[in-house]
Amino acid sequence: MLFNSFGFLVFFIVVTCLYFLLPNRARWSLLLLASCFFYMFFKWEYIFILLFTIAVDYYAGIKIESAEGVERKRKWLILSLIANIGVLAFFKYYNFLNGNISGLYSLLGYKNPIPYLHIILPIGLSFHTFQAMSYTIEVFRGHQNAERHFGIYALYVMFYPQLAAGPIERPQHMLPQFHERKQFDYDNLIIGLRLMLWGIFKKVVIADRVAMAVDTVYGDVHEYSGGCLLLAAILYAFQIYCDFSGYSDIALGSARVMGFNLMRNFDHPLYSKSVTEFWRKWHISLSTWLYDYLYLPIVIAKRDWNKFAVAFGLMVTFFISGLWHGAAWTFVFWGVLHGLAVTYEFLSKKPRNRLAKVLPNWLYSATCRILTLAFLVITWIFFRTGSMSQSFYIIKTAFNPLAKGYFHLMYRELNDDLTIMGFARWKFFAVMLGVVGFAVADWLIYKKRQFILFQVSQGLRWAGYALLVICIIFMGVFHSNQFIYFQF
Amino acid sequence: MKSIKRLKYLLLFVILLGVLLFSIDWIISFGARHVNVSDLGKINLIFNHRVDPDIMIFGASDAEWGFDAPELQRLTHRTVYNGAIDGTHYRQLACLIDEFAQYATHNRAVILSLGPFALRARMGVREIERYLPVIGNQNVYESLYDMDADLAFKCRYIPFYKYTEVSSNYYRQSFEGWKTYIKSRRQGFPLDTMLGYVPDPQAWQRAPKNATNDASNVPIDKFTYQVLADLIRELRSKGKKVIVLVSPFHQSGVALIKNWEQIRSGMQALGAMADYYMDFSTSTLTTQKDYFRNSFHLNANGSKVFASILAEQLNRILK
Repeated sequence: MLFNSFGFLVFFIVVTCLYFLLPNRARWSLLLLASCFFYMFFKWEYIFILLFTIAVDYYAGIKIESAEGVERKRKWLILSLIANIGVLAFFKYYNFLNGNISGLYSLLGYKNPIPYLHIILPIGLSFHTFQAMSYTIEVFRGHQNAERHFGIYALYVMFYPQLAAGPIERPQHMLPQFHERKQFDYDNLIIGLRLMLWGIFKKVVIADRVAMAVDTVYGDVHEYSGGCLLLAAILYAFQIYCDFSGYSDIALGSARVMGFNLMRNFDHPLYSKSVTEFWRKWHISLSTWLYDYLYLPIVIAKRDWNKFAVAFGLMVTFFISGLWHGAAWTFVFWGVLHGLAVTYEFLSKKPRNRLAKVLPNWLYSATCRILTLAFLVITWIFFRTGSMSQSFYIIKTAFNPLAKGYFHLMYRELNDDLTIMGFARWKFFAVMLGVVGFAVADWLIYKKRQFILFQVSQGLRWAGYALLVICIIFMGVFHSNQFIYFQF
Repeated sequence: MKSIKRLKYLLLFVILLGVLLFSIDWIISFGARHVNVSDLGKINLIFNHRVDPDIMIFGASDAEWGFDAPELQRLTHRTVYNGAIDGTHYRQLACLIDEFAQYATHNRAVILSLGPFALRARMGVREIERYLPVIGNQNVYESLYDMDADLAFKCRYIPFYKYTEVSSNYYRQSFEGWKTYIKSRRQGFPLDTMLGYVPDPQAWQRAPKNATNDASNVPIDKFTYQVLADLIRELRSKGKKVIVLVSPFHQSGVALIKNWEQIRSGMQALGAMADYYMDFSTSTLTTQKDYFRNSFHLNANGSKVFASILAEQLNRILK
């Protein structure tokens, strides 16, 4: 069930109404049932895998808490981690690993005897696995008591707004909320609905419309000029941002309506002045997870290495981050590039600070923002294509403005229509206008630190909401576009 | 309690928004119902009972681009209308033909054009937006429901759901529909000047990728065959002469279809149920690339030549 589907609209309304109609003691079971239904909508058989890891982690949590001595606790933690990582590794990385083994075999002139398996990745596997792992780690660290209520623990892993693509929550933040008595609150309702509205707008009006142009170009990169490839790469930055942040807004909003606060996942990352800042603002729940459970332990363990401990920690973290995003070398390469950039920024902090003092503030900020965005656009090419050779071809062509026909954006379709990236000219300009309009609105929100419609009178605000609804209904794209991060 | 009281503001907003959305819906739908050109217009004209020519043509893109209705009209001295709809299979066209059969009293002959893929199984509804202005018609609804029950139900009964299925073209056409309405509200609902024919001026190009990929084997779908057989029977029962016509396509297209002879004999069997059977798949036209835009579609030049050949035969039949 996609957040941008009619089915979800009905599901959300029914579940929310029932939630407030039921007595408090029964609410957790309603949410759990609803979450199971939501999960089973994708592929029902996989619920058993999820229930297996939930049962292991639930039991391990209790055992970790009650075990005496760190070694005994560690054994239970390792058991839980093996169960979680094992499931993740099998479903997500088996074929990737096997493909690489096949490559090695063929280099030596042999045939790989390990079979290829037709595995469909369970929805949101990487997200709920990381969330489950944070629970047992936190119990092991003594930051969280083991949850004794199996249903509540299952709900912590399966809570439907964040089940498919996060945010990856922490037990200290979520578990107490499931025990709280929730009252209907008008402000929560309005804040939640507003977030959902903005999220759906970003997804169906901006992201999916832009996706039509991006998919057209990436579908046949050799047919398009360098200018088109560059434009597609830039548009992809907006597509992925609107897609994922749109999903996160809907998740936050649908939870907020029922009184649950999920952690914020985005903070206008496209305006970051550095890659380091970008990772503080992009997919915050994953960044902080990796920081707490991977980067920090590495840096602490290797603290004798001084600066190199940080560099090493960063590279390992971003390598894992790349791999987390997808079982392909393009994702790993993307992660490594980001790791190198963040490491460079860490090591060059002093000279960059000196430069910041010399240059006018606006010039320094603008230059940093443009360079960071350029870096993101280039690295997302690897993220989008899924092929190293194609990625390098795009980079080579898109950044060669002196090449003949570079600015030739028009493309003659089979039916003799002139199009720009799959759109008739006026439609293309309408899409570009939409993207620029969105970028301006997002910038204003970023600058004022407030939702843009909060800065106007109430009448205008409601008119703004109505306009968003009209845009969604009459200008939205609703065809089969899954959220990009669902694949992870 | 305070929160509950404040809900009335939200309720008021929802009501006002609902009124606004229904108004926009009415404006768009009204325009769409008055479109008289393109595929949407053809469906409107038929469901408004505005088309009743001597010779009516039904089919898919091969017929829409291949039957030059104005030229046929000139050569046969009979009224002709091209009711073919691009990319649409006979299962989906059935409601249209059925409606036409019910009301058309003047019509004498109906041509059912069969392209090389006409008997292939096709799943789902093709471009439902063309049918949205008339989805309230029970005949249309049931026909669409048979193909995609979920989609048809939602488009008919759930407010605004249909807008999740339409392209921007629908709004543009709705605007054109308004213009047509304003210009011609005194005269009624006019026919388009091309009489449903869509001329394609293009020279020879390669066949569409999907067409060439699919072309290796084209199994006959029993259900589609049955739909066509039923349509022929129904049209004949209403006193119309039914002509089953295999449309001309370039010989390179024959080479792409392994089981062409099998398909052809299926079409022949349908032809035997009709009043007349015409097979243009081996006509002299089919050897000349100048007459085609690709392996399966005539261009404007070819359709003019084809019209002269067809008109001769029609004149003989409809004497």
